[in-house]
Amino acid sequence: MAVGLFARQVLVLCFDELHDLMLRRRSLLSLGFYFLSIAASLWLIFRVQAVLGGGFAHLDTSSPGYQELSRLVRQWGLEEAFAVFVSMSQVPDALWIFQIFSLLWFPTLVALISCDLVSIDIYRGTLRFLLLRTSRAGYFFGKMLSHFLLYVILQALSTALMFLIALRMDPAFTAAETARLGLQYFVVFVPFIWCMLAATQWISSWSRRPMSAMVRAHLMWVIFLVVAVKASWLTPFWSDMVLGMFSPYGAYPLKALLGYAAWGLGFTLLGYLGFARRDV
Amino acid sequence: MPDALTLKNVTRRFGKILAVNGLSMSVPDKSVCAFVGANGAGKTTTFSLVGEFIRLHAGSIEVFGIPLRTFRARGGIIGLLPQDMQYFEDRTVWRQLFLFARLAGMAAVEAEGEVLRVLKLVRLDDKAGATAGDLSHGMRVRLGVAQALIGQPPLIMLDEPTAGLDPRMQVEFRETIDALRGKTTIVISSHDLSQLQEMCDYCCMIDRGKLLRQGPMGQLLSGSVQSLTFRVVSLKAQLAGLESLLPGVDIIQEDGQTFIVEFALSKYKVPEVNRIVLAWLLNAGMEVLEVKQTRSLEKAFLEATGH
Ligand SMILES: Nc1ncnc2c1ncn2[C@@H]1O[C@H](COP(=O)(O)OP(=O)(O)O)[C@@H](O)[C@H]1O
Ligand SMILES: [Mg+2]
Repeated sequence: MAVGLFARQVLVLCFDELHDLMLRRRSLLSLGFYFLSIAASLWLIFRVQAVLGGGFAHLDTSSPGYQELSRLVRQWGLEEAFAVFVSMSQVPDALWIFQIFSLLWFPTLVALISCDLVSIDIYRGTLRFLLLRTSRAGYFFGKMLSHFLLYVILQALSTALMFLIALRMDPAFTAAETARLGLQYFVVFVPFIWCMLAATQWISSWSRRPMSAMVRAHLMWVIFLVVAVKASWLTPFWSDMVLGMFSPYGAYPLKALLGYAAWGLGFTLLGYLGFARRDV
Repeated sequence: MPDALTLKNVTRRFGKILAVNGLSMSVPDKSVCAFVGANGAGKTTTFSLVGEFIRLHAGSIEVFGIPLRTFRARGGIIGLLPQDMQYFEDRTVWRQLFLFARLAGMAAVEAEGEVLRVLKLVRLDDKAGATAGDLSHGMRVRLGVAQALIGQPPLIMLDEPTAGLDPRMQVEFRETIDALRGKTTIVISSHDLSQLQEMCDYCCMIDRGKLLRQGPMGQLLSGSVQSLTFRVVSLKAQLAGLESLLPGVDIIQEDGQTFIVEFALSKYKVPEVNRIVLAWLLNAGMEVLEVKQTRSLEKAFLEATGH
């Protein structure tokens, strides 16, 4: 009974929010910005292709140049960085360029669209009407699910698009290889989305205005970036996690997957527990 | 049947202000209860506590004998109209009510029927397609009441619903309440006591976050000071003559037909006063149209607060 009630509230609110999202000016502008970013990354992909003429994929590990380079790398103690660099050559350009692009603009995209998530109901005063008929958990997670679905679907579609482009541009990779790498990129991206969304929702839930939530979300990422310069492992920008988002080398992808899931869970708990106790 | 709403020692602070201070009261099932108190007495805060918008600092709230939290966890709904009605301004009346009906657990078809039902009840069915932002104040109140009625909640709480309504809308509001009377429990807060006196059959009075008195409306109105209203065809003699017959009684002339006699029940009994006044009227050759026991809720309230 209680579970059915919760699930129903989550679904009703989720679809209501998605419906609303499609009518909100800021979210439409942000989605426009999203498509511009895809276009920009496509342009970059074509430029890289034109300059490298086939990209990193054709790095010849038996050439004397490569042998010399790896000797230098060992001498300077940069094996790890080099391995990461080389691992990138095992991914079609379209995929990794787009992944890095997504990493750069996703926090902003999420802050732009999701700063509204809870604060809009606080701001327009509709939260009370909703909370009369749904539990705080139903409300909080219904809202979260709606935006989560939006981002996951967007990222799935664009990764699929990049997969098609990669197939055409990087014949050195088989379709199966490209699909596996595309899928891996997508899978590590899902907890990353959760982390960004949960952090933004947490801020949104104690901001009285959508605009201040947006500014605060950006401020939070700036603070994390500043901290990351000194001690990156204290932040969601821990270098191992960030590397794992695009380098298939070693344990990095797993670190990214688990790391962002942990941050996502942390922000979700922080946001929900605060919201459940707050006066509205 | 347990009481619809029971508060026990309910306390809520805002910083240093004790907005609700150990409030204990109960509202009988199926009553229309006036919840009265001066501005700042803690009415809205009490509503917010029952709506679980704000946290309780002490005490407990029960709905139909069940703790509020359990009641809601089982899917129970409390219909509530907050004092500051703020809607989804850019959504149609229909769409917002439909969302509330869906959240109340109805399937889409059922929800459509429910929205139509409540819109008809508050006479807003012709505005279903209008956005909330385009409604007049009176219509916004009706939308708020419609919202509170969605899902036929067994307890409905309306915070100052009659504030700012013109006389015709007030009559319509009363008709809506009459249509619901006996089917559900309704708590109506207001600082305008004359309206509630007629509409409600039960009353809880609060002051500075505490209960002053509660009980059936009739009982609260028959307090220690009684007043009788006499209406005659026309007042021919000076009321001073009557005053000399009833020492210690206040006589107030309302107009050329009506006067009010007020007295302490410790001094006189109602039949005694009636006998003296009527004898005086008949002696002076005045024809009596009406004799009425009147005691306004306002007076009862002022008396209870000791002002
Ligand atoms: N959110 C709040 N913050 C601070 N003080 C508040 C808040 N809400 C109510 N109060 C104070 O609590 C007291 C009771 O207010 P309220 O419940 O709104 O009274 P009423 O509805 O009976 O007019 C008032 O003194 C009011 O100033
Ligand atoms: Mg009030």
